[in-house]
Amino acid sequence: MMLKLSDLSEGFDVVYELSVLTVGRRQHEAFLKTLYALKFEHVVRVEAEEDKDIRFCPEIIADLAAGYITDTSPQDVVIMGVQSSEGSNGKTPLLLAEELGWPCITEVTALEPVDEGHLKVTSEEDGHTAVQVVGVPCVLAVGNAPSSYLRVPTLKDKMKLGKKPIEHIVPNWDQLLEKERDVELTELAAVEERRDAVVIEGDTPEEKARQLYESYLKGRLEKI
Amino acid sequence: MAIISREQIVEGLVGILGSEQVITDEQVLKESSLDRYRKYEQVCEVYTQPIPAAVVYVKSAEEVSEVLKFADDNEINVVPRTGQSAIEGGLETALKDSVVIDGSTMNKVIKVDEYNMQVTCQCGVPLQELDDMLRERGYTTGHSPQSKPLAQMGGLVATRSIGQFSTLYGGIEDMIVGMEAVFPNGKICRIKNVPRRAAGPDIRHIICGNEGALCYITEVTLKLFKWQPDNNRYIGYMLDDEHMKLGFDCLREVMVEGYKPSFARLYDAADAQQHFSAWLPEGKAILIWMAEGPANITPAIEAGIKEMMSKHPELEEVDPKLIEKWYGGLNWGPEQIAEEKEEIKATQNIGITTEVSGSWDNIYDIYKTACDRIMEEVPDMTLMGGHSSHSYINGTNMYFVYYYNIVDCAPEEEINKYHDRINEIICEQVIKYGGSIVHHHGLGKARAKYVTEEYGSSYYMLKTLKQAFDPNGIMNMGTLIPLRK
Amino acid sequence: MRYHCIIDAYSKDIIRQMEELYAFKSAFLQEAEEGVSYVLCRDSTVVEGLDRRISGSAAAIIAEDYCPEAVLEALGKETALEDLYLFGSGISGNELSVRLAARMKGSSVTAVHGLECKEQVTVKKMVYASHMEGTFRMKKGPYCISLAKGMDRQEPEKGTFHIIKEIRCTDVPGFVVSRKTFANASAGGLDEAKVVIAAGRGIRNRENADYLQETAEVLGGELGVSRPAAMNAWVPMNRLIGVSGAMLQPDICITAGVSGAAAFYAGIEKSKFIVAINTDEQAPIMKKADVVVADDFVPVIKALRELAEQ
Repeated sequence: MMLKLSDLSEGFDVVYELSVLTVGRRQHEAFLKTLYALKFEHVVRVEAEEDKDIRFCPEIIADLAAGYITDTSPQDVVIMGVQSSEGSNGKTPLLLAEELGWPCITEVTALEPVDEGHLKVTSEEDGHTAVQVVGVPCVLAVGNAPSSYLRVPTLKDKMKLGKKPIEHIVPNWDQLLEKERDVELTELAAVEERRDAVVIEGDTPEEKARQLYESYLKGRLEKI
Repeated sequence: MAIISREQIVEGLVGILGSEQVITDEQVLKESSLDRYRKYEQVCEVYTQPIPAAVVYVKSAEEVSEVLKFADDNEINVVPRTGQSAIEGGLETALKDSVVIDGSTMNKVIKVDEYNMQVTCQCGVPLQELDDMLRERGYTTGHSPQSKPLAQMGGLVATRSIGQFSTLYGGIEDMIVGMEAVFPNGKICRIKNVPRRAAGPDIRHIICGNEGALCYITEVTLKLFKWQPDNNRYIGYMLDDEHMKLGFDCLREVMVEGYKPSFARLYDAADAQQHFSAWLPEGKAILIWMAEGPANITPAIEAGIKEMMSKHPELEEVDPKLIEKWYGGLNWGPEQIAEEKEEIKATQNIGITTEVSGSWDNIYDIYKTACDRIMEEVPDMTLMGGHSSHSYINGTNMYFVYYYNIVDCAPEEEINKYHDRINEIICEQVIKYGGSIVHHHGLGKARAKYVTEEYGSSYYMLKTLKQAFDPNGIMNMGTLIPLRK
Repeated sequence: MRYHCIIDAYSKDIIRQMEELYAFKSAFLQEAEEGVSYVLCRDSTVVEGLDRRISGSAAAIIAEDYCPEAVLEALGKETALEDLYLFGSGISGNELSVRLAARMKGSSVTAVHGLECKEQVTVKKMVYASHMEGTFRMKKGPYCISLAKGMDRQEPEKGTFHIIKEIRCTDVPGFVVSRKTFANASAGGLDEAKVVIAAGRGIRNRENADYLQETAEVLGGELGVSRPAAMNAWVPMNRLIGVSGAMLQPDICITAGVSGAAAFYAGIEKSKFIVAINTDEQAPIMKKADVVVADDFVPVIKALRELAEQ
């Protein structure tokens, strides 16, 4: 979405400088390098190796992002996802907006440039779609945007641009993890997704249909 | 080309099969004019091939016979089809007013013969359903191509397909017993089910691999094997991409020493990243084997391979659990196809494969020079790599995998600008070094133009078969033998 | 513990919000003390017009258009530090619960489907793409939670809230320069159907497809099909169910002549109740349904239709 915005900026007299920040493991760097090849200016990884389980710690991620924006590299717009599939917290962009004191739009599906200080944002709200021209700074959380596939850089661009080193931030993990959290995971249980497959017995198809209707369908249909 | 009109063709077919089995819906016809060789045209819903006159669903060998006789009398091109997973143009309707004969409704498993260890089924039986059913009884066909969720028996035999466990079970040619097929004049031929015979040439191989250009396969009997997945052993090593030559030599060593793993694979670094990026560092190629079979044999194969590999300091062993996990997600079904379509639309980035084979002494040259030439000569490449996935005592295959961005190019032009160009380079290099340009997807129409170079002096035999069995030229024209322009 | 519900009256599904909130409190908050409900609305007549209530009294938080910044400002002033705040399952519920907790130094969890308040507040929600259920302890009040989508509903009491207070939102410095909203095209038809008949290749022809469409209408539902049936042009492509078509969650799904390929099944997986009718007992669908009938669908559906028509 950021790349599309940047493509569209021609003719609007706006130049976007694109940066990427992720909290992740070293093994993600191969992927991050492709972002350089797609012409991002800064690619930053907050180092979090495997022993750091932060799947259910959205406040830590928000802290780290806010820290980067206030201390290291000021930004006008932050674009992020709504939630990860593992943690499914659904909180990080909102917490980041609160920390920065910025407004936030969630479930964003499209983005267009307006001028240096403004963006046109399309987002889902409950039961309707909103199209707003908003001022920066703001936090945008991307929802079910159609065709949200990352484009692929050519091997030539990868060779030319992918060599640039990833920028690193090493946070004080002990301090971050020691701080008491407001919400803590206490239990995880797998959910069984199998169905009963009760076989309806009967001598004729009509008898089976009657069984099915009386025992299983009639009540349910009446409820509807 | 047909000597009667499109309307008369449909009328004639309805007369034979009834209107329910004759489909003339425009969208269905369009989608039936091509296969995944023209993947980008498929995604863009741009159809450059002649649109067939009808798709007919057949229910018996007798119906096939009637339809073929009708087509033969009226010189109508027919394209046999079952699971529709073809990717080399074999299903393209290259001539005007073709008829697609779809056997997917002939989907009965006729007999599971556990004592003689063979299973007989109609041409439309999906391999996935067959093998799942057999596995519940403790058996397997041993056939497991990536297209397993889509492919059906007729097409699998017609294209001489091969599965992921071929190093143990062989290709489909090693699994077939007897068959039934219908020829253009309506003659229904059955080849009986026996363990072996020496009564003249093995005529099964006129049917197996005919790609619908000689006859229509209606029934197939395959061998059965015991399924004992609990005994499976996985072995894996990573190595630097520069050591690909050594990788091929490691595959060779295992084969030459007489081991029979069920798969033996070597991925170069680019292709390996597509499958193992979750844990495999960039720039690393990977070698993997799986041993399958009785409980006292698989550990022996594992130990044997490990002992041989321990002598190569360039190799670093990987956790077999990681290999096992990858093995669980190998196949390519309708979900992946639906997803891929969206992704191609959004990114204009497309991925394609071409599979070839070579001897141990030329496979590395084929691999290396083809990759280098493509990178040099074709624009907008985003990935160029490949793997070897089927090894033999005397050589192995190479499965080229390549992705490119489609830049400033109409859907109709894509084939010329990119796909055919890459195919051409690969075929040229293979022929130059003495391999085969087709390992297991069939010649189809895409590679038929290289058939005389592929066959050399033996092309005479192929041409004679075509002339003898299909004198009026109605069977999947353009496949195996290219159309005269 | 005292709890409060927050109702978003800018949204058209206000009744559903109230039904879900009411069902949730009946299930998990019987012992707790009922607080005030907060209704976010254009004016308090909306609250009066509801004709049902989920607590005795309510406060109206009033602004011309929904603006989260303004609502948070107003709500923040009302928030009691040890109370529980329940938000609906919509987009606004999610946003407000997290941001309110952040402002009030409390704790928040989104998409919650279970709750226990004893010495501590613990909640349950689905994680890992709905493969697992997580239990979370909330340590600091105010405790702000939003409900999970598609929870049970319960008809609230008839009557009107006693409005104890009207709070007018003060203008917050706006970052929104202009704003337009568009009602989403009603998905209608198949997407929203409560009853779906899903037909596969096994239905054999177009006439049977038509018959099933009529039967679906008798049951108050719609017909959808698997890929082979669509490819045979027995029904239009827009009836396709599965990853490349519609992803459904009806109350009842009856499959006829469907084998149960994964790509198709993903489209009906969320059905509350699945009936599979197939001649082949070995078909994969026969293990993924609640109830299965191993028989030809024609006489079974015909008999079902007659029973339903009675």
